[in-house]
Formats: sequence, C-alpha cells, structure tokens
Amino acid sequence: MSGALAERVFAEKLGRAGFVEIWVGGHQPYGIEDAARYPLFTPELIDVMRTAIAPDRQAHVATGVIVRARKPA
Amino acid sequence: MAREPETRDLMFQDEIKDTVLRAYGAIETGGGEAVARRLYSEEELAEVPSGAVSWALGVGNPVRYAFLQPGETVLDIGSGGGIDTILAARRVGPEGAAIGLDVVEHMLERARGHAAESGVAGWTEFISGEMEDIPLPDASVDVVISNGVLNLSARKSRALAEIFRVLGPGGRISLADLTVEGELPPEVANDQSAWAG
Repeated sequence: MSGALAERVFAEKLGRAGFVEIWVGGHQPYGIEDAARYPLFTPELIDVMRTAIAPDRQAHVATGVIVRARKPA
Repeated sequence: MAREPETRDLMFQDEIKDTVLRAYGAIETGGGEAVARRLYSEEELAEVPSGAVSWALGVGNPVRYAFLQPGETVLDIGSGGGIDTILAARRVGPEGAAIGLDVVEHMLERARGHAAESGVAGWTEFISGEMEDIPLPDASVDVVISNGVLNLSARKSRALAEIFRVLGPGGRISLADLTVEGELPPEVANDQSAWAG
C-alpha cells in the first residue's frame, strides 16, 4: 500500500510509457478491515493503522482500481 | 561521507525489493475465501481449484476486464498462487497461451500444481522473473494482466516500460491495483509490511 500511486499519477505514467486509450474504473474502497484479511499486513501494522488513520478514513484508506490501456498498433 | 541522492534512491529500491520478497516468501497462506469472494463471482471461483482460491492475494479482477479471446497469449505479472493465470488460461484456451511470472519460487511451484489440477497446464507456463526485467522477447504477448502487483515495485516506470516492450502492436493491459490519494500517515507509510501489502 505504501507504494501505491495516486490514480492521476498512475495514468500519467502509463501515458509516458507510450500507452493510449487509458481507462481507470472498477473503483472499490479498501479500508483497514479489508487490509486485515491479507496475511501481508502484520497485526502490528493493522494496530498502527487503527491508531494513526483518522476514523473517517479508516473504511477507505486506498482504492482498488482496474486500469486498462493499449499499446498503439 | 554523505551518499549522492541517486545512490540513496537505489539503495531504497533494493530495500523495498528485499522487503517485498521476504514478505511474500514468508507467508503461509493467502487471503483465503474472504478475499476471493470479494473479487470473483461464484462461477469464476468454480473454475479454479480451492488451493488457488485460498491463495488469492489480489485487489481486483483483471481477467474480467481483459476481454480475452481464444488463441491470445496472456502474461500475468506477479502470478502468485495462479488464480488469475488459470482463469486467463481458460479464456484463451489451448490454441492460446497463459504465462505466469513471479519472483517467489515456491509460489511458482504452487501455481504449477494448481494449473495441473485445473487441466490447463498444457498451455500454461509459470516462469521466474521480475516485472522490471521480464524474461520474454519483444512483442511476444497480446495481453498483460496483473493483480495488486505494480504498487509493490520500487521502479514502476521501468516495469511499465517492460510491459510495453513485451506487448505486440495493439496489445492491451488490464491491471488491478491499489491507488492512494493523499499521504498515508508516516508511521503507516514507513512500516515495512505496508510496502508488501
């Protein structure tokens, strides 16, 4: 999660790589309770997140997206 | 003596890479059904063995948005337990090919077992390699998918350049990933496991 880009930056990087017809959709909020289902997040980090992240943001810390694009023909 | 910024950045990249490799090498289970049921339909889950379902670690469903066609060659970057590679293999069929790429050897072994169990092993291959240095020729695949993987790279522009290189003209990508708007609190952002998850 620490390496996740902002959506706009993600799309810009794709454009700079040469991709066209860039589409971002399928938005799905990821909160702390969602993160806790993944074994890659340690229980200690989940505890830190519950303390450090504002209550109104805890249900939507990150966003799952689908990014589609095409290499020019 | 103070190091040049570029050197520091390169060390930071290596540190992130090591952290991610250690984390994925150490886990003994995937996200399980709770993760899989959020991302895949009942019909999709019925297409893959339970082992692949239990090792689901993605954040979306890139195969659903890839609109794969029979005969296409698809590359799944960071294939993990193989759930998306197997779903992709079913859609491209034996006249196509599905390739899973991962850096964690025991994940590759696990995915090969799941593909064999699924009956798609004849046109599915799992290869070892990094997304920033994909061991495939130029213009060798039609579609690239990945699921929650690009955010793990410390060299995202390099990874995207590699994806672009291996795609043929007109080739397409369907990448599921996390985005974050604004800053994470530093105690979260700097935690090593937040780089792997």
